[in-house]
Amino acid sequence: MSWNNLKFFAIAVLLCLNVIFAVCVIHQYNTENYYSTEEIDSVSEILAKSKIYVSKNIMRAKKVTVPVYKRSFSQDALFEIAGEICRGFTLSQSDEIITAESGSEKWTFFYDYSFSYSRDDCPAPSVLLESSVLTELITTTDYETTFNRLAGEFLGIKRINQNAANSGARKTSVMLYRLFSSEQDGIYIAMFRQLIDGKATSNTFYLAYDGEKIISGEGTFAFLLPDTSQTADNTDLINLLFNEKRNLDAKTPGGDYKVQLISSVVYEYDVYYDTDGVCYYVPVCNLIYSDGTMHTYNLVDGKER
Amino acid sequence: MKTNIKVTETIKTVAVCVLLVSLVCLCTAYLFGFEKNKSPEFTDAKLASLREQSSKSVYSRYFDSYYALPYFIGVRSSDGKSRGMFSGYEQMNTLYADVSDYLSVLFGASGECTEVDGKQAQLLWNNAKSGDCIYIGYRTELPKNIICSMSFPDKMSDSISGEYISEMIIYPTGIPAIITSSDIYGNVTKTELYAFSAICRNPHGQYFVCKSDYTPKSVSDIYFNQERIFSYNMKDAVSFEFASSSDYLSSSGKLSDTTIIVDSITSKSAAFTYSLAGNPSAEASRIVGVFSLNFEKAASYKDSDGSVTYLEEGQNVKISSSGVVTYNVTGASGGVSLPSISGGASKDGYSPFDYVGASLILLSKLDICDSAKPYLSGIYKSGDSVTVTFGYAYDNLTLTDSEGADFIRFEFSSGMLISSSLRPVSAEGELKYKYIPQNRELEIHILMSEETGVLRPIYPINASGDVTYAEWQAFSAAVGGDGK
Repeated sequence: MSWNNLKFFAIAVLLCLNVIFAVCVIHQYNTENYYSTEEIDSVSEILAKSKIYVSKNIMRAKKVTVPVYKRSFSQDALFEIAGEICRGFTLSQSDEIITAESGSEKWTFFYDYSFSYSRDDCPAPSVLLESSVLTELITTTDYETTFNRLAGEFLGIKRINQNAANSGARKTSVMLYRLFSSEQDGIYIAMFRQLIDGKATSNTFYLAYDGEKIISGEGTFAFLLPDTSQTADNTDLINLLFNEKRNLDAKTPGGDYKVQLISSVVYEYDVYYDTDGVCYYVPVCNLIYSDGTMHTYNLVDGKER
Repeated sequence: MKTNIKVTETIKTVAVCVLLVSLVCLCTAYLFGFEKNKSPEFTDAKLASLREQSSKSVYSRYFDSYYALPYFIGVRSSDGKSRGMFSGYEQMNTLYADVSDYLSVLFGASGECTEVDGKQAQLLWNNAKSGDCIYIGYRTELPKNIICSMSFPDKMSDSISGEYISEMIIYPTGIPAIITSSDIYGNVTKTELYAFSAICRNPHGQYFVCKSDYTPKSVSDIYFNQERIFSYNMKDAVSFEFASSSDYLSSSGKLSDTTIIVDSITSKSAAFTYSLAGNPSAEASRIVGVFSLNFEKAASYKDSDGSVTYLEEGQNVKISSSGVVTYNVTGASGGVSLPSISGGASKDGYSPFDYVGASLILLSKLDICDSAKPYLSGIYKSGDSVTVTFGYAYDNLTLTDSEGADFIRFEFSSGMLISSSLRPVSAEGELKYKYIPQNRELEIHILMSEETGVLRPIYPINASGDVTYAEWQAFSAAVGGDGK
């Protein structure tokens, strides 16, 4: 065989091998990222025995892999951010807290990631929640926009994200979760969740708003944002659904099931703290039913919260 | 023509190269792609550990050293010199924090605790107390990890094991490193830096030896020697001895070897009044709410003795006129779950940490404790239920009532609070007892008299557990003391 023909032969063989491997890689990608029609049908059939139905779009969507994030605690870094949030305040720190005071305003940053704020000796939101006659409001888009902006400005979310102590860290934001109002006092008490990378976390805090300004606040908010990502074996959605079926079966020993449709799946973070002060953001999956019921599963070990 | 052939050959060569590179890439993607061979950095085991630590982190906000503060800390030398301290929260806290340097090494990651049996244990204990040593006596036996976490939440690691201990002797071990230094006048001083171990025990006769491979190399390290342990600041220190043997102590259910005060204590005496804290009935709404009852909806009735009982399906809360709060579960729908108390996630099983932590949270929410501080007096398991009890101490002196009953008790079963009783106590007055005779058992209690409302220091006098009172100073009459 001449050299020229050998090249043709090599091109042909290589082309074939490329096509074969390309098909294998695509197949592998699809297998790893999407459920096959057979799998979806099979799972749907099994879940249907307990009258659990899952929207097909949920099953057809690309599988989600959510990393674990973490952040080590640093008193100096928190002090720096506290200074950024409380510009013009007098800051002091002890072994347990950082305080910032200016006139009647007082911030306290605890080293367990909680904080409190009061102005004019206004009671904390938890006290107001217990002592006032409150009405829970439906959180409309208008309320969400207004209160998310208020909380963002109050906490200085932009400055927290841009602070050097959070350089290279994931971005944070806040999300209005529940809203109460006291008609008697004209005070709103809003409960917020902290978001990391757009995903809600179990860090929550309350702000009391008198219609003009935030008068008090307290709760948990990670001012030091997660800066390290760790890979974790995420539990497969199908396995979570099987766990859900198993739990439902255990709760319904007589087999008297009612029809339930899982209408959406939302991924969030549960926040854990180790004894060294390292904060971990562990992904969880919320299975949300059409009637609003929600069951939360940890994505790392697949256990229900 | 030749040019065309050359171009064709070049294209063929390039195509072969491109296809080869592409093949290698595809092979690599197939073999190693999508991180399928990468082991996860965050594992199930790490999550389980975090769950445990995270709940402790929640509880640690409620931990305070006075819950598990030793009733006595003393240092002794091999030649019989001794100094010890037993009262004053602030002073005891400071001294305990100094001594904790040793505990953090022995109980930390580099330490190891093993149980020692029989004669060997007794021999080790006797050897330890006969040389230079630090003695730490706790009011009651408690898991070692709870004692440490309660006292030094920031200092201790998470790896401390949970042996029940009530007494501990820290003693030097091995050959010391000798550090020589000289001052500007040429005076040479030698400092012997000893490594150290500890022997702990509990009233059931179990002994544990805690060792570490840690070796001090310089004076800035944690080391043991006589000068160092006698340099601790002890206000109103007393001399003490280890009692060799006593039938009385054995019959009272304690080990036959404990600590006794040698000195007469004349510098401080106690004069108290005590009162039941405030009027909890006025705060019924808050107290009832702590036990998850809806005050607005709960049914209530008043007994002839003035106590009010609030009822909800499966549970009730009774508040007596004297402030005693009792919670009971009466049906399947009652009970307060541990996650609802701590705000943490539910778990498959609960550890003593969870039960103690939940009890501390409830105590904090109930807010019934005043100047008399509660201390953790026991964690008991019986079948499926776990009971956590608390006593009271005033300025680190144990308060004992005439019946010897627990002041505060929380009972849990299967992760639920199923019963509870709390007696609020408020001690007032200045600690000024006049005289406690020599050579009495160190555990000085202060007996509360229900009749007179006076707290009086007591000490045991015989094997049957009879007690007598210390003398009072005259001035105490102003606050209710009667002088005898």
